[in-house]
Amino acid sequence: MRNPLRIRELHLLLFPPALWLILFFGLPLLIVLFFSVSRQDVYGGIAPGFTLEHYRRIADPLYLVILWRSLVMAAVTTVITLLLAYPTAYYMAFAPPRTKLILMFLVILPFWTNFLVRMYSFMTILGADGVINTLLLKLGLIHEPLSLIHNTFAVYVGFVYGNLPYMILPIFAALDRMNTSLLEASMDLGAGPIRTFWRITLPYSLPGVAAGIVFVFIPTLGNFVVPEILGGADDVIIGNVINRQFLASRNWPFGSALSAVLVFGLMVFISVYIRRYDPMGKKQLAAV
Amino acid sequence: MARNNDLGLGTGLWLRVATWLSVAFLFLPIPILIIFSFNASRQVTHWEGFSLKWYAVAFADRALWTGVQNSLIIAAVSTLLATVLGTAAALALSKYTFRGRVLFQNLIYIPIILPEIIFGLSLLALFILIRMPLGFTSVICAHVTFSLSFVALIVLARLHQFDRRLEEASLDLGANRLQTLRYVILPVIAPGIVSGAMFAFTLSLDDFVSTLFTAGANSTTLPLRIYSLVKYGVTPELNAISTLLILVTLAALLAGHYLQRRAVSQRLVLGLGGGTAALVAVLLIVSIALADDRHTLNVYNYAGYFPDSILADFEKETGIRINYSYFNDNEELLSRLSLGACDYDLVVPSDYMVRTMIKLKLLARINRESLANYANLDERFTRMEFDPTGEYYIPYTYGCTGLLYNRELTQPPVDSWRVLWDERYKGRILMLDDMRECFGLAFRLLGGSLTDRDPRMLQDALALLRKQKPLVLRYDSNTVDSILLSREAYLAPYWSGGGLRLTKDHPEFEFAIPREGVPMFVDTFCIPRDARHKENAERLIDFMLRPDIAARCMEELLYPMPNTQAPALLPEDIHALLQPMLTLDLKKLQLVGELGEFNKDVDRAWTELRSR
Repeated sequence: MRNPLRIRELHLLLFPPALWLILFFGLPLLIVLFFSVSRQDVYGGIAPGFTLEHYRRIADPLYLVILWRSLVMAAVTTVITLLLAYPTAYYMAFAPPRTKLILMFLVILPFWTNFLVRMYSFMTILGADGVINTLLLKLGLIHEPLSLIHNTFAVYVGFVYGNLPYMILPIFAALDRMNTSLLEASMDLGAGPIRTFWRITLPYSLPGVAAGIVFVFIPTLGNFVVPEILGGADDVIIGNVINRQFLASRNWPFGSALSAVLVFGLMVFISVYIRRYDPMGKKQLAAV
Repeated sequence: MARNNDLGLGTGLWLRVATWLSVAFLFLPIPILIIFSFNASRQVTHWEGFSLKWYAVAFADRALWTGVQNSLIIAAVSTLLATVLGTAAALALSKYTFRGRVLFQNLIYIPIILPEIIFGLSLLALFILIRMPLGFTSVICAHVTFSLSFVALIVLARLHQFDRRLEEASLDLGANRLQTLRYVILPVIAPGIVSGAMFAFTLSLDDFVSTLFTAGANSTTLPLRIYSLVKYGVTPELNAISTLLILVTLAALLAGHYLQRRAVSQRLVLGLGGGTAALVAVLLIVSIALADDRHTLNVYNYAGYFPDSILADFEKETGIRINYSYFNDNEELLSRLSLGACDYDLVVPSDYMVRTMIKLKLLARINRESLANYANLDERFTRMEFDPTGEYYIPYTYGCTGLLYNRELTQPPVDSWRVLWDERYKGRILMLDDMRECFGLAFRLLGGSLTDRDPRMLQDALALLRKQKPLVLRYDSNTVDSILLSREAYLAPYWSGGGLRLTKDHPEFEFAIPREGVPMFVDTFCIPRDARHKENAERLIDFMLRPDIAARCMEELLYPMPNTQAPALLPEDIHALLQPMLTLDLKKLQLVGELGEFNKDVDRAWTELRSR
């Protein structure tokens, strides 16, 4: 192990990415932490001096309610996405190669259009004179357009839509790698399909599910674009508040404090979660 | 390997139905997007017949193509860097155990799982602190950082399948480490590197959030341009652009498939891709080095607030190249400008914001002597209360917030702001997504003004707005016209230009000035203190003050300009439309001043209103 050539190679491989990440990822997070305990001057700048007032402000029930609502929305989105994604991934994994390829293509296709455009296309679909309402009116099923957009429902549609592929792909990857002889053995030994699913398939797919949950839950928590585009009067989540502090209210310290709380919470969640499920260790991304 | 084997797994009917349903859900917006790109109407929700005009619009949209160009450059360079760094990180992680390995591993994982907004704003904080100007470099830094992690993970996954004994065998047989890397390891992980690079490229092209935070004056990317189109009012141009994007990706995919069929090796693909990216990077550096910086002008303005055709004429006439980037409101403008990292030459703040900017010493004095057309300005606008010296601003347009409503869906009279509290219009009312507008209106109804900075009245105003909230469909400043046209909402406070535009094309709409009075605004040309192209900015200002150009501006924007010569040049119908605005009694109108510390209280009240 003490081979100097090896050590030099390690240094060559390690230092550039490590330095890059420290400089452009670690350091910026520390700066945000520093801002969050700094004073604010009247026009939104950072003034010298230490204060915890911004953290005290977060304890205001107002912001706690928003934080809680964001958590609930992200959790519900994750559950719905999982319920839709699991059967799809399962079907894909056991489909004949051609079907598999087509399905894969269809799942990845939405990525090729801009995310904002995809969200806006839901205006065309869900709007009062949109595709669905026009269709239902023409068929005589309804007499007045349904309110499908600019409410929490539409936000969920947007969230689920945007995140579905991120849940399907890791589960598919886990199932696709599974050794089918295990299933054959299980069936041969007399376990029914349901029992086989519970005892073999499901446990094998869990790492994929775990990865999918991380990929859906966390980005949803910070998303501020979807509620802005599809939401109603009430749909404000933590991402919107943080975004406002930086780009509108110019309250950098408070925005930083909110971010710091969010990051800290996520770190705790992730470290517990990774230890428990190891969603990253198992080549989850190979499918992508 | 046929995996749907004799076990009959994955063939259940419900499973098939569920699968195709979720795939259809994913796929559905795409054909609709494509179909509506051929819509003859301006609207994205309403089909009015077949037309190719939005493709023509998209092709003629210069800002769009600049965005495409910028996006490609940024994606190429950041993919190149991220692929190299990410692969190195993956090799280090898979081949070695070292102190701090866990820490390093976390550094790789965490960027992937942090919400992107945190990532974007923390990078912005860094760039401001180290005074690095925002532009290509800052965006590339952001994109490399998150792509690096993805590349590392994908390559790492591939390395897990790598048989370490091959490496040992190679070394034993006398190959040195570099040769082993080149001939043994790389070929095995090449597919991982290729898919990592492709992933990085896609991520970079589509990235919006971290680009929003880190982009500067000259680095507007395609997603930012799309966002601005969305803000300015969604038109089928967006659909046309997306359709073109899909076509290009499809072509690339087919080409990739073809190459694969022809058994072109992954290494060749890698080499070609890397070579292209490197070439682009070199071209970028050369072009930056060679670009004649003196002939550029960086404009920071609302999307579409300088008509494209007029900017094009200015460029033709003067040979000056304009970089146009966008903000959504005065606050965003101030927050960017006060960061001092953006290299803007011309900005367009409103009245109260000019005062704030003067106080913060953000503005340069404008050389009024150099403006040949200065004399065309209406004198009532040249020394307004927010800058009595008139040294720091040149008035551009003015307008007011009035009440836009659909006559067919409302009952007369609609002549008071109180109608926005009328139970009959429950769920049919839009309010501007703008705290100054909403609270300003509430204060007005309570008989005060936001500028009084009265905290007790703020509580009453909040109560008033909360009472209204159950009636409000949505707080929105960007898609007001689409929502009103779709008849989802019936009435909304709106800025006069947008309001008049809707009444011009759709006779069922009316733009009213309620009897309680309306807030007025004056938007201005200002030049930031550190502007590097001040003279070019003054040339553009002068150009816009020319009577013929001003008239064209007014016709396009439907905002009046304080130009004494221009109204006579307006077409008759436009003149008639603008008449009420041109003859507004300025004495009766009120500019809403700045709020200082009170801003924080209003912000809290606004957050409270919006979230409960």
